[in-house]
Amino acid sequence: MNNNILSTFFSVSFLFIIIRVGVPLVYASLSAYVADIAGIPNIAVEGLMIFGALFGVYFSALFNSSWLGLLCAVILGVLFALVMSFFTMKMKANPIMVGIALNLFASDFSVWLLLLWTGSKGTTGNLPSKVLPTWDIPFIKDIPVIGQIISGHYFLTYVCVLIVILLYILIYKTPFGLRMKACGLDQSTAESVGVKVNKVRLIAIIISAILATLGGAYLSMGYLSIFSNNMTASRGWMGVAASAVGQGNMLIVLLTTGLFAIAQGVVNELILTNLPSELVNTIPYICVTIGLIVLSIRKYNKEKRG
Amino acid sequence: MKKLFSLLATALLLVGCAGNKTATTTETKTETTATDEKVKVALLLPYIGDQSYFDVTYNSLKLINEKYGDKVETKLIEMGTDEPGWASANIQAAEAGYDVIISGNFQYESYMLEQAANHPEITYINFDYSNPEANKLDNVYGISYKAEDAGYLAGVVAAVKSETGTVGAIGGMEINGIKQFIGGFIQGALAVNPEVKVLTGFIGDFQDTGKAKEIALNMNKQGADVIYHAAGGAGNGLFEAAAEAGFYAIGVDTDQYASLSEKKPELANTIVTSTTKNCDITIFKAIEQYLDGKLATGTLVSVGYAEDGIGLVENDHYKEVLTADEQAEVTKFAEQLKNGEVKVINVAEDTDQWDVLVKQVSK
Repeated sequence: MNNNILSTFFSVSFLFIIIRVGVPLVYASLSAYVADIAGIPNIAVEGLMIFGALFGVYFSALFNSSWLGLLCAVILGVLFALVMSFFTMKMKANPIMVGIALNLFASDFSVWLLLLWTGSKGTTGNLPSKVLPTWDIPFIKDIPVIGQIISGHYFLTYVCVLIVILLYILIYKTPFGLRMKACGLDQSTAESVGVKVNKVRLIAIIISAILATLGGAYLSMGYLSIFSNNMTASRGWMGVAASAVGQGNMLIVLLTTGLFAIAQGVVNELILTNLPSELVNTIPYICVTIGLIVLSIRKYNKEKRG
Repeated sequence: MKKLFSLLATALLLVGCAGNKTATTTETKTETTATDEKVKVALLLPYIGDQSYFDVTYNSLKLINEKYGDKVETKLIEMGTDEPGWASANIQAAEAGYDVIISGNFQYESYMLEQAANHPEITYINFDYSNPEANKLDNVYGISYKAEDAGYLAGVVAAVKSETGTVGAIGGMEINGIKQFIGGFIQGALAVNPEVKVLTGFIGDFQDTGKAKEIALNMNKQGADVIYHAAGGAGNGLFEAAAEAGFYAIGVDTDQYASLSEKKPELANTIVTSTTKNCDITIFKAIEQYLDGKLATGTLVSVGYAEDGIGLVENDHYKEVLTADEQAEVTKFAEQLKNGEVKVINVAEDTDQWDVLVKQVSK
């Protein structure tokens, strides 16, 4: 039995699973990260993901097209983010409070919409919703091992890879990325050199909302084909945690997210053994805690030396 | 902002209550003049139209009306989904002159029991009680369901249908109420095939549909070809996995094939059958006993397959998927359960048995 489990962890299909499980976490982490570095923490990732998941399903059924569904989900997600930034930037409300409010609102409002649209409080099982396609990459899919790992994923998985690359370029290679980081480091200094802080932050929050809704849509329009009540199940919060571990460094954010994904994959395998499930289910969270401890030790040592 | 909202909400609620009260009183007046002898029964539910638990429960009133329409007058009261609404609905119902009031379920039984204590003249039926201590009132008849019977039937179907000799069961949380289902499942599978291997796994909540899918796919990879779930909404992940990897699933609580067959046939087609919790039949029987003057109020009963409290869906899809021989075999074991020839262990009461069972089926 134990040998069995060990061999699954080193199998090709396990890597495929890690990617499948990890993509929504990457969306969530990057969503939190983009807002973080611009100095406007977005902890409403979870709520925006719920909306993305629900609206994607509903509008894809309404328009009979998964693409229009996805588009509507993203537009509505951005609208919610604009409301959020109105409160935080115009009305100067505490962004954490606004984030909590949006999360609570999303988890209950989505159930209400679900009831309104489907007559059920559980799932959208009676909506003829559409899913986004799965892609088999030509040529690559025929390469042994690599083809098995990277081909045959959901459409939004490949979008995720593209976004990671574009975001890296935006943040580390363009003047706009520099401005974003400046706004995050010190608002008044950024203002003093002529950076329009609010504009930069608004753009950051819009990117953040798009990422979160895509993460939600991944769950309900590919990975699964229906929306079910609170199906995001804290994935948004894991993203917020990964962003916190990264402390502004995108590579560390991505590495942390990868670690979470691996932990989640390991949990899914270990759950079938007779180990106590309460204990097994804590593995990803223990990973977060260890990650945070390691990072703060490093930071502490660095400061002591400097 | 929040304060303003809550003020508004309270105001609305007050207006709503006032409106309702006048409506119900006038209604009862006309009713009493028209029909004096009819037994008046009220069913209190948050709402209907969920195509599941509440609708099944509401169906009890239809059953009662069909058979005892001349003797009984029924009324459904939709309480809404907020707790203050549940409290006021129960108070109003208690004061509106009903002979029997039916409600229950862990979420709102406390509001019902509060009124039951204040109104000893009314008979209360708790159709799905959860707290046995609180339900020990002289005018309350409490019903609970033998989840182990549901699990047993699912286990029988799974083991009969399985070709690999490995089956699986996914639970929401590792709590006694869920272990009761899965403990029953293991016993059912063992009854059919003493050599069976049963994989069990708990998601950790009732919401993470994605995780349920991953667990189901892992079970399938380890050989399980029929998988049952007792995981609420997250259980839909099992059907997604079944559709993707091509194996069979068994639903829980209501006919899950019927609720998905219209718009998501690819998911529904994986569902061999579902075990059901027949709240409608148990309420109907309780009212029948009440009319005969035999309803044992002040007692709590636990109903299983023998009492029709638990059922197994045998719809057209079930008959399509299972061959005649397989169906006959399932019926054979189901009959034994019905006759009381088999006694399913309830692992929620007999907690030591859980480990014994799990050890027995993991090789």
